[in-house]
Amino acid sequence: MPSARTMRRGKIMSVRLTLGTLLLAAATAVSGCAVPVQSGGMSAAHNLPPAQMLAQPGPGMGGPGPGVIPNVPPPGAQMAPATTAQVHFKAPVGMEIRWDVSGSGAYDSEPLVVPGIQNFPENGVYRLKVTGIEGREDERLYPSMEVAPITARTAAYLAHTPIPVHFTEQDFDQALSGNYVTKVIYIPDPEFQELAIGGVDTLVSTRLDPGVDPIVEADRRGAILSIIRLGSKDMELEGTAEGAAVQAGYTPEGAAVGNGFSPVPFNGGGVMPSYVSGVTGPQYGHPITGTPIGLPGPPHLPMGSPAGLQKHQITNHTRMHIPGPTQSLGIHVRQQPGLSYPRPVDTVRIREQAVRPMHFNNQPPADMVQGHPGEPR
Amino acid sequence: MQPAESSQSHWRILCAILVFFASQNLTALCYGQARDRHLQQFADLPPGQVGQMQLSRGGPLAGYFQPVRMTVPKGAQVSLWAEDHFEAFEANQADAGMLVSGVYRTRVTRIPGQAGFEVYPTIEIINRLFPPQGQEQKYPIPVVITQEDLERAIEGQFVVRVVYLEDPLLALPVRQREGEQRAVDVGPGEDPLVAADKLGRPMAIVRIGSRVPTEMLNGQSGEGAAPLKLYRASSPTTETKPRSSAQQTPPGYRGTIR
Repeated sequence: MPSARTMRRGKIMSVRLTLGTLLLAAATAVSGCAVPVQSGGMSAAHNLPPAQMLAQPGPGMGGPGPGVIPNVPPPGAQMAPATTAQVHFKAPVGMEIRWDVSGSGAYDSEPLVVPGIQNFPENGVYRLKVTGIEGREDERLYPSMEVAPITARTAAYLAHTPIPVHFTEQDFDQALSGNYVTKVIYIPDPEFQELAIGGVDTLVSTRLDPGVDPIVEADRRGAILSIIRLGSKDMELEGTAEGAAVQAGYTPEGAAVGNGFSPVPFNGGGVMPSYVSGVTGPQYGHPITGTPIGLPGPPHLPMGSPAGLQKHQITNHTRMHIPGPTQSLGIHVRQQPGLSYPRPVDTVRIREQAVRPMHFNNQPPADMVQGHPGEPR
Repeated sequence: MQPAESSQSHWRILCAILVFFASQNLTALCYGQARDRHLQQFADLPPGQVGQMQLSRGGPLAGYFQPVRMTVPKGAQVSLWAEDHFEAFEANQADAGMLVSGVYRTRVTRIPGQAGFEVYPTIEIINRLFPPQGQEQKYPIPVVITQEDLERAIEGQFVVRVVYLEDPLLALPVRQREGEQRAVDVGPGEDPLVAADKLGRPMAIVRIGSRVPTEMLNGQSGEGAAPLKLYRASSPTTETKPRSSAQQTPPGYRGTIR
């Protein structure tokens, strides 16, 4: 038989527990801190992947989705993607810009007087020659302009609007004083469009904090259209053709030859891979010097006496742990949030209700007579 | 504790648990409704892609030439790219039938106050109207390009207009003047196609920029050259010639079909 004190404590605990549960429920209801799942573990909101992802059967694969018959557009209905980006050099006014059109490395194009526009094929790096800068008539600069490949994010913009390129006094000051200036022109993502004028924005390396890469930052903020690199290196310095020091190494042959009209990228177009055996470097397995690891080394000079070195030995003491190739690879992909489609309709209930008038619409007696009076029926 | 009090306490705990889970379910629904829809189509997709996705949905869209009336400021001249050249129109408006999912390059010249500048907008048709049969040309999609749009494009901005058929329940009860097209400016970071979808049924995407399609003018490529039906307005001198009843156009429209 419990005492009266114990019974009172039990009531208090029961009330506290009930109130606490109700308060917790109310708090979660107000704050919205709920588990956003329904039965089945999927999100309460239907979530489709982006349009570009829907158009592909899976990551890393092209073409339409599985089981999807691609719609055949009428001939000529779809706009052919532009393969060139139009660049509008806007400032400073009066400056002259030249580029390579023959593929010989010379700046042999007709000078473009700013402001002016010029088409550049996408995915290429172009060396420009800038002269006639107002107030700096004796200076000449050789910036390079990289036109990014046209992507789905930039196609609509580049099909209608040229890329605006401005060179400011500060850019020239920085370059002529020996600094390296990188300007990145990009289309900002919606969350970064507050400060963009005309739909594009420009990041300049000299205005960013030290250590911040403008290309990485622009790529984080949106889609890159063009990258301009500006320095004080003179690309037409006299004496570079004859009698200058030539680095030992492989020189790629068969440079791109232009058609004398369009700009020719000096890197052959696009971003070249760092090392391709026999293409961008010496062929693998054929060292160009006597070093056994294939690196170019110093030649053995006789130093004024007959060569006496008969043998040299290099021992590699580097600790190595290079595992063998993987026989099988398992890739586990989980997209967050998951994909959810609404359940298809399986039941339709239709209820039609006719409003019956309060009175009956009888046919007037005059209309019940068929035909006209006097005519035979 | 008495048995009656014990059962009452259990009922309270049970009720509290039920209230807790009910609130959880309610907030889960609120959580789902608070999140906006995940839309597939945006105005900054490549030109023609939205129309292609519309065609993929099926329906009587493919092969239908939707009449479009493009109007530019008074004094300006509008041209449409037909096959391999720009077909100029006499007045400041052009009528043509355009395919759904087609992207059509146009040209606006003689812009008032902007001598020497030309703007080359494109029109992408992404849906169609369903007018009474035989009166298709009486109800074209009005595409109005304002002087402000052209000046913004000349300044280097990229202007996107989405023409939509307004929802009757959301329509503004304001009379619209002839040649005027009310526009809603969306803020930065907001997609015009998504905004138009909330207000009605998007019909066309008009993209206006300052790029000169030099490849098209030089005959190097035919981008934006989808099949087109030109409804050229006749001049008064040619209108005097009587025509047969088979050649007559619907009432209220003066023109011929090429």
